Amino acid sequence: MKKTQFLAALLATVAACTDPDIELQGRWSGQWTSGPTTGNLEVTFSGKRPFGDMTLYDVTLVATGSSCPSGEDRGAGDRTAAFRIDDVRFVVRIAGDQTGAGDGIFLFDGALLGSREINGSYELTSESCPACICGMGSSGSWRLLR
Amino acid sequence: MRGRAVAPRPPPRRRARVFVAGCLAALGPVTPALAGVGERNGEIGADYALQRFDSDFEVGAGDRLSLRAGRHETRRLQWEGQVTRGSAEEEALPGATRKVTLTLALANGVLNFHPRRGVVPYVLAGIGLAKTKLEAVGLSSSDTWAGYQLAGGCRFFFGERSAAALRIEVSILGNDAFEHSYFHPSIAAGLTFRLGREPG
Repeated sequence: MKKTQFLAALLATVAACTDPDIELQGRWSGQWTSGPTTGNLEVTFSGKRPFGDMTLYDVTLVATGSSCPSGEDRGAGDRTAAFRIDDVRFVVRIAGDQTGAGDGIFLFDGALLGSREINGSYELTSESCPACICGMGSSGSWRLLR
Repeated sequence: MRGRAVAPRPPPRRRARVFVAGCLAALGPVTPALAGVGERNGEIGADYALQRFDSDFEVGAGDRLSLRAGRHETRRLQWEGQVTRGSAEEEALPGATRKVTLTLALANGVLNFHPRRGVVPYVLAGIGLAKTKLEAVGLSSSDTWAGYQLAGGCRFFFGERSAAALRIEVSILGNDAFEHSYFHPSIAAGLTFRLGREPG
């Protein structure tokens, strides 16, 4: 191998191993699973802002699935997503009626793998989610890809 | 099924204002008079501050408590040590709390003035260490680096020959953390006590 080829390969390796300011901003797609029930998940992180060495985002979530063929569960939160190193946590509220009754609150806890995949678990932190129609249940797992 | 009722918590700013207003209401009628503080006196005290945190944190205002102790080297110049801790938090959704906790240990140089007995205004500058702890949606991190402050205030001694005074202060705390500098204005009220003989 020539010297220039060796240096190019070395630089490529270093670049691949370096963490080039990874961030979550943008749309991610994947699946959620709760027991035997599964569905699709789309999460969008926006409104990036620093919080010390963490990054905060606004988050929106759309869950669909075979259990809700004609509908979807849609949740959101302002500055309710936090990202630090490879830890990702976000909270969304799936709104009930206009008075706030029937809201469901979900906490998603995950880890970033590389820069294009997040795996984790979720749980319903409110007592229930009357507005939910997709059967995400009280807990489950999730996986997102950029 | 029903949703969980989330009871609203009284905002920290309201509690802080009630405390400060209570202090002023209780101590305001006391006529400042013939006491004071001066050379070779010691001084200890504690105060409560309504603390606004740097706008970068987007958490608004919170509470801060301080303990102070120092010595008046001359009639004008005083050295003072201060430890203080404050925090503020905001909960956008249940489980999505953002919280800032700031702890400082400072050495202050205080320049005192004596316009009349029993009233001792001052300005001070301090430097030391500051620990900044941040929590967001269950994640946390902290950083310890330089802390500093500029402040001005006044002591109002209670009655003739009193060793106790109401101390009111406005200050700007600063600290370096996470490769940034942050600034936090505050207003504080507390009690301070002269140690040693009355100044002549």
